[in-house]
Amino acid sequence: MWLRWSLDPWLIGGVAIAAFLYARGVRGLAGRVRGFPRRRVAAFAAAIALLIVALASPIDAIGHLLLWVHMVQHWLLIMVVAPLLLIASPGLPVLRGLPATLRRGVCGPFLASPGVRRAFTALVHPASGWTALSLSMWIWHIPALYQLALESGWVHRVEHASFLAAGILFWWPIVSPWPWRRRWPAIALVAYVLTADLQGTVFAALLCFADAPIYASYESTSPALGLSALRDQRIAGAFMWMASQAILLPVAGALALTAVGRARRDRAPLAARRERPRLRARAEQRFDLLRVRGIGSVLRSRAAREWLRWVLLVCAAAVAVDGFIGPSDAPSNLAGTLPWTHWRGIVVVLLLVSANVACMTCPLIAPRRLLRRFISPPFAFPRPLRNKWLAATLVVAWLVSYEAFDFWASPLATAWIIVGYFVAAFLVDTLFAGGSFCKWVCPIGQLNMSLSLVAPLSVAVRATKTCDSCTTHECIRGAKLTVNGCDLELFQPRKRGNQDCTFCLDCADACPHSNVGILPQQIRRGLLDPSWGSSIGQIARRADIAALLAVLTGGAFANALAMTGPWLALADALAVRGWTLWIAEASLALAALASLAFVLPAFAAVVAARRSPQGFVEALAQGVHACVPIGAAMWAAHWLFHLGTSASTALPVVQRAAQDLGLSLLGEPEWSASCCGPVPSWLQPVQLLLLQGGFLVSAWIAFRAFGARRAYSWWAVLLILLSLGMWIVLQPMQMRGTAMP
Amino acid sequence: MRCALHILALVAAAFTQSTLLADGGAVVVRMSVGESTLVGFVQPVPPVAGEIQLSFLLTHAGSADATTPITLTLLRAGVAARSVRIDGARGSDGLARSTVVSLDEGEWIVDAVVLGDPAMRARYALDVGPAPAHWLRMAPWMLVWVPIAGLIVARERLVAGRRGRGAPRANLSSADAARERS
Repeated sequence: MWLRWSLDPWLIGGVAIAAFLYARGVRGLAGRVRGFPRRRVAAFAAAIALLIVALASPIDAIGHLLLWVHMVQHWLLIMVVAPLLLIASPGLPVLRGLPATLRRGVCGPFLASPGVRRAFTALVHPASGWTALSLSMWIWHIPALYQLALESGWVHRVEHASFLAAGILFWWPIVSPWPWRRRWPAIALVAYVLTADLQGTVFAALLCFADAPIYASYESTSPALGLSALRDQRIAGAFMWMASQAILLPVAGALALTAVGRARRDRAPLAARRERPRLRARAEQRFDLLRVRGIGSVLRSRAAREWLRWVLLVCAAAVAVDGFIGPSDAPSNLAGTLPWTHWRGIVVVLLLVSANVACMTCPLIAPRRLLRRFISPPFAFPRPLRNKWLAATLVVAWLVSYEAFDFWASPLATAWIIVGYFVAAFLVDTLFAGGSFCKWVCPIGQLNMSLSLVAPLSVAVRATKTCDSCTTHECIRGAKLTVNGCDLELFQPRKRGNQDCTFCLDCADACPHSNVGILPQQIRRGLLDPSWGSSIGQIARRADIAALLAVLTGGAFANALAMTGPWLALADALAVRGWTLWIAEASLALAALASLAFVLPAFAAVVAARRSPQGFVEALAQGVHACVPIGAAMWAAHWLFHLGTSASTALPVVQRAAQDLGLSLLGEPEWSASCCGPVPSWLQPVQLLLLQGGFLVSAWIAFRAFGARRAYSWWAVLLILLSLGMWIVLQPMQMRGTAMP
Repeated sequence: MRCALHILALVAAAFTQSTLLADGGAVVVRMSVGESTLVGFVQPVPPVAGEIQLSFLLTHAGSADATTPITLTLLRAGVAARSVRIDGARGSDGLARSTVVSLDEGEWIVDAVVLGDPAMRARYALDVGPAPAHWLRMAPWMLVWVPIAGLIVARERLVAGRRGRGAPRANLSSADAARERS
């Protein structure tokens, strides 16, 4: 029985994030404050462990059957977990554990606000703590509310959260977590504890001495487990009485001792003063993925990166070959599943948690490197094409033809696309110098590089002073014959954001000072900074980049829209009226793209430009940059859907391909895995949260770019996109790449 | 980083693990034969069309029996009967056993038969209401942005207030600032 724990993902996720932030914060504080005692860390660990025991162990489930077990759970939350959490003093470590942008940009203004400080001081006043504890205890034990909590998981969670919050407020004046200093005299706190104990005693006595069961549900369940409901209730009351007093009376005693000056706690305020943090004592160390043990050394190794690209090249070749000679049914073919369902989903997940890994491991780079050993390209890319107009046009063509010809449903078409891609890259890179294909042509690369504007990591210089004194500029010129500089002409000291960066890390290889790393990115720098950026220039003057980003943002919604039930019904209705199906689908895709990528942004830019000296192009460019986060969120939500619902489809096709090659190691194909898997319950909430996160970042960037008075038109566009995105997520979806009818 | 990876793996494991059943719900039936008792629960409360969790707690003289199979037959006028057999405890309490069935709106008869000694049979009606709209079930997840937007607005007002008191160039947008610089 005790082995059956309920791993609620939201609880485990929340606890894991809190533990990570605390651990990171404690590590960051080490050496910066005089002694962060280990007992605090131990208290935090104990609090987290007991929280999980209270909420995820069988105690939680048996609480539905036996009242006294439920009371044990509540007692754990209020009387044990809450004070332990406060002893752990998590405020400063968790704050310290947050990313610097969040800490300074979001938390800083609140923490510095006198109004917020006054409100917080009032909140942790003993009167608030006493009231919160009493109200939560009495209100939640009203029979109707108690029954509601037993019947509804959501209400039950709210009940537990309010008990924990009330416990924290109650214990705050007593524990006074560091660096907070106790403001009430100990003798007053003795009265505070004893009166709280008294009201708890009254409640426990009610349970003990009632003539009849108070909670109807236990009248059915307690007797089944060998206890009459009344006896169960009396045990619950007695437990609350004894267990609460076992904690509160010693605490009151200790406070009384402190009050009369016999305890060493008298010196606590002095100790607290000694422990006050000296947060500016040491310069902050920035995270650098290239310096992380293990993964950092792999990424730094030029050979390892090249090897990864060759592996992916072999995979791409296998997919293409299967597309040509394998079964024509998409769910049975490597080309019908892996590129559309798995590769895209994995790429977007990696991009959201790290960086543009897709371009870093791109299989097109490996043959280019090999080719350049023998052939030097004779030309520079034509100057009239050295902008993003060509790429934007290719992206539009790609998105429209994808819907019109259902590439995802045709392994043969997929195979031709792969081959065509390699041929185009080969031709462009044979004729033109540098990374011309990546920078000016590749539609997939444009998507990855644009999405990576919102990735958390960026290739950047570690110390600007080192670059100031550098005169050789190997990062762009190359170091030796074997080490390239940046093929995409990004000069590291002047690089801004991730636009046009393929994460090839040639610059890191070339830098003789090892001054290039993969560092945390400030998203607003790539999307908002009006200053000049290497190879990009000024955001506000690049209409071509604005057009590309508009297409990619609008395309995110149009692409997802095209797989919803209502959209497919519309295309079918047009087909019934005499349209050829592919023309109907292409027309609809083009119409959606035109509305979302051009009409809406143009309208917003006209309105925003009307109220300022800013020109239309400038307003459009800045507004479209602001829309990138919500566009990235839509791509992520869409591809996560495919990955989340169809991840298992990889197994049977790989088994089938292995079998075709005469390899029986993987066994017979499990065709049941390519059809009809349940949609995970977490998927839609995660999709909705992603969209809202993208919306909030976009809205904030629009505000910073235009100011409150001129951002309204862009906020309207963002609200339209958010509503559309949510609607799409809630629609029945075409299960592409699966055998589902 | 390693610590972060471990935590990520733990969370991923939690997300992939299906939540155990028999956590709560309303009591819909209780019957006793000798020292044996059968208590039936249903969740959600009230039951609505879609996935419904039916849980049973079987005890003998106060001790839970998590092994004796229970056979459920779900009957509805005009609809063929459906049978479900539940073996072993699947609840996180290790005591009750559960099954999730997909039921349409209307009145259903649940016939639960315990195939043990003593044999027990509980028959009760389950009034399944219409399912709420899907978007309504998702509504809490769709409104998360509202309080966060409120926080962001409050933050911007605080910052603007501080700058307004201290620095005269406070409310310049980045575009205005760039223009001024140039």
